[in-house]
Amino acid sequence: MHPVAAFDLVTFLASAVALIVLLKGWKRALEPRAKLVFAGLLLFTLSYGILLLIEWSGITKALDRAEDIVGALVPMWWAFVVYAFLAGIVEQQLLERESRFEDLFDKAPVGYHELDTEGRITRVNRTELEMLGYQTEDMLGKHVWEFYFNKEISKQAVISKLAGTIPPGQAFERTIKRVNGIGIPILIQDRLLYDKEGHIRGIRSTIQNISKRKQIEEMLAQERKLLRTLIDNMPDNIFVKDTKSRFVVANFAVANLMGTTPEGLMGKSDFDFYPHELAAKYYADDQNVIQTGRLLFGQEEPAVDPEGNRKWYSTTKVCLRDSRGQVIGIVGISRDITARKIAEKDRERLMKTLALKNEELESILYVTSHDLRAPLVNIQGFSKELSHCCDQIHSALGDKIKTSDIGAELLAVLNKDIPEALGFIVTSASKMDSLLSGLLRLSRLGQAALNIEQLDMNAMLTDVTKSMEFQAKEIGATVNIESLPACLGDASQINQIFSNILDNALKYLDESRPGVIRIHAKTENGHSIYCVEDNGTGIAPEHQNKIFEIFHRLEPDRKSGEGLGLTIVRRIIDRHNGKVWVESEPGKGSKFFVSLPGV
Amino acid sequence: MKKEGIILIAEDDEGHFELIKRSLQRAGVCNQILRLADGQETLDFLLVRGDGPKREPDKEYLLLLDIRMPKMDGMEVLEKIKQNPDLKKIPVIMLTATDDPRTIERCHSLGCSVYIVKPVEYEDFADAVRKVGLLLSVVEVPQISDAKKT
Amino acid sequence: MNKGAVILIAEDDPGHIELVKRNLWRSCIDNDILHFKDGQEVLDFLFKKSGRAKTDGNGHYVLLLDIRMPKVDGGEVLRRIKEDEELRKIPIIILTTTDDASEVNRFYEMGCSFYMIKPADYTKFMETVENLGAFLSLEGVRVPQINGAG
Repeated sequence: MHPVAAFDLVTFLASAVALIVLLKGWKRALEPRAKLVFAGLLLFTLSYGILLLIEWSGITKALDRAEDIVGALVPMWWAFVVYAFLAGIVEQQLLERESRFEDLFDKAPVGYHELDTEGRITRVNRTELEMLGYQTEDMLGKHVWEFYFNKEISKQAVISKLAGTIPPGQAFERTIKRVNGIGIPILIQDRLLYDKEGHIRGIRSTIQNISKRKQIEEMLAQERKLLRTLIDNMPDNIFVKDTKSRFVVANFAVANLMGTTPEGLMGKSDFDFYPHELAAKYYADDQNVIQTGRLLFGQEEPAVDPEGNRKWYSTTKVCLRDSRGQVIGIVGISRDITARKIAEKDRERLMKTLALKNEELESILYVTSHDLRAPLVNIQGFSKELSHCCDQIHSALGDKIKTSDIGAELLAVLNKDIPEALGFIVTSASKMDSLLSGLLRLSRLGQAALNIEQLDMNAMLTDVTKSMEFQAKEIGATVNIESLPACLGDASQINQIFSNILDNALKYLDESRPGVIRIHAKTENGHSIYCVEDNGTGIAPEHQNKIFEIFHRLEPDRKSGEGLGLTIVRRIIDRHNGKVWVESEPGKGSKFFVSLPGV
Repeated sequence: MKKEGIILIAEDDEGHFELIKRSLQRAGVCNQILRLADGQETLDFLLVRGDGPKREPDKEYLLLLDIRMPKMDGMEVLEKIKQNPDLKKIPVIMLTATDDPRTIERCHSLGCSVYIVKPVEYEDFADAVRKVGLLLSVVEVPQISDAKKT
Repeated sequence: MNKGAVILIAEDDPGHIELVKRNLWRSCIDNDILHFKDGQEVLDFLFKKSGRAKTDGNGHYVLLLDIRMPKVDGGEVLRRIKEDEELRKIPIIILTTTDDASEVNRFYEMGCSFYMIKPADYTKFMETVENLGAFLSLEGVRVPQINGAG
């Protein structure tokens, strides 16, 4: 083939490919100039192609010249095609990049909009549209302040910014209208846009939906308010001091105690309000907490109010640390315990007085019992001596008395009157002695030391019953002891209690039926409650309290005893912090209950 | 003396001891009567040491003491007893043959309760012991507890 | 007791004195009895401070001492006597109404010879004093000689 013809063929094929490329480029080119270039190239390629075809077909030779001229332009055409091809690639890349940017812009995590020099929205990204619920056409071209709640203020601000009179930029909050009319709080940051000459051509703004943040802020504010209200109004002192023991926070209670306001305390320390030693002590406590990190809990300490009155507080101080764990101060809570302290002191005083009075009473009882005994010795003694004297007179007179006139009279006096009188004297003295013994025993009970231990009550009651076995058999009574819980008490004294109660039970049986005494118990609320139950004569309701009185005897004529048994029982019970009471029905029997601390 | 009180008789002669015991009982004494064979045994008993019998705490004791005893004589025993803070309370009745005034004085100085010269005649001896028994029935005897308790 | 030994009784109640004397006599005591109505008197006598002459040049004494007395009580008397080297030899028998066990212990600790209680029951009272008297009247009972406190 002719070389020029081969070249023409290649060109023809190339122009076919070029056509496709150029078409694509023409379609895609946005710029009108580019479009024009592509269009021109397309035309050129088409026309050359046609000319080539005409030449090859040999239809006419007239156009050969034209073809040659056009052919001469082919190298230039190649250049253009290559250029266009490359430009297409470049444009392709540019387009991709641009669309990426568009994507970035549109789907940014913040809302973006741009304003022109009149404040009208020229661009708005997807995020913002979605945030607000508008479509693009709803926002484009409108003044931006139409969307804000404070329209006038916004308008002024935007205009001023565009005019360059106020700086834009720092984040500020606005409320923007959603499509449904509801406002949402947003954070706006503005940037001014400049043209090539440096003039302001618009504003670009980023907006962020801060509803959630606003909500949290609101909640925090509420909590803080609640906390502050609590702290402020608590009757206890609440305060926070820094590491130098200066007040940082204080509630009304603290301020009142120190004679100032919470604000008046800021930055000041205890030294500004209290006497030096008191303040020094507080300071030492603060520093100790700060240095050792250990908390000071419930320390009772003195304080002074503005009037100079002494008060007592229970104070707790604890370290305050920052987020890195460094100590930045202390938090303190102080409770006014003055009233309690005063009550405590009063109580101590009362208890002391009571104890003293008790001691006094005991010793009076003791001493008098002994002192009262001494004369009794004389009364009894000399009564006996007197009766001896009578005997002496009797034997001295001997038979003479029968024969004398005054004999009968004398005899009567000697044998009847004097002995009778002496008898009464001796009996009374004897009675007095036993009463005194009883009193002495009672007072000794109060003084004897208590040896509290766990007691096996079954064993004890068995012992007590055994020692009264003889008595019980004589009167035909039976004693049944059921299973008894243990208790805490002094062995000999508790023994005494049950001896006395059992003794009474055996004493006051009903003659018409055999005596049955039942001893049983139960536990309740940590106490062991024992019951001695008999089927004796019972006790009338009006006597039920009296039986515990000293020297009281139910049937003084018929039964022996000093009337001390139950008084002693009560005394011992009182010392053991227990209880004793009776339930009884006359004619049926009695139940004596004894409550003692359980195990 | 309460019936739980114990009468201690330090007497090396067993026969003598029996005589004393019977006379006391005839006087109505029903307390437990313990024989301690010599001075050493007496002290061991009271001081709660050694292998022999020992005294029990919180009991009432009264001691009849002869001076002439093997191993340790009565005066030394008396001295040791009266020096001990717990034991000094025990009433000690010297019942011995010596009537030497200096011995009598010394015993009283040491703190014996009473000094009885043993009568030579048996009748008198029995009578004396009987009267001791009668006395014991009307005296109070202290309880010997250990130092720690009050 | 030694012939010529003197029984000193320190007792403030005149009735008691009378009763004690009578019962001592009933038990065949024939020694001299000296009565002191309070602690001070007895101390003055023994410590030779009073003008009252001792009835006997020999100076053999036994003291019956009540606890509750005016001026100086029995406890104080006992203490002072036992502190004196010479006077401590005197046997002292406490004879009182108090029956408190702690008092019994206390007085034995201070060195009394015996502690006896005066019962209100006269029969028992008589028995107590008679037994004491019977005991003291034993020829074997020896009380030491006191030269007098210096």
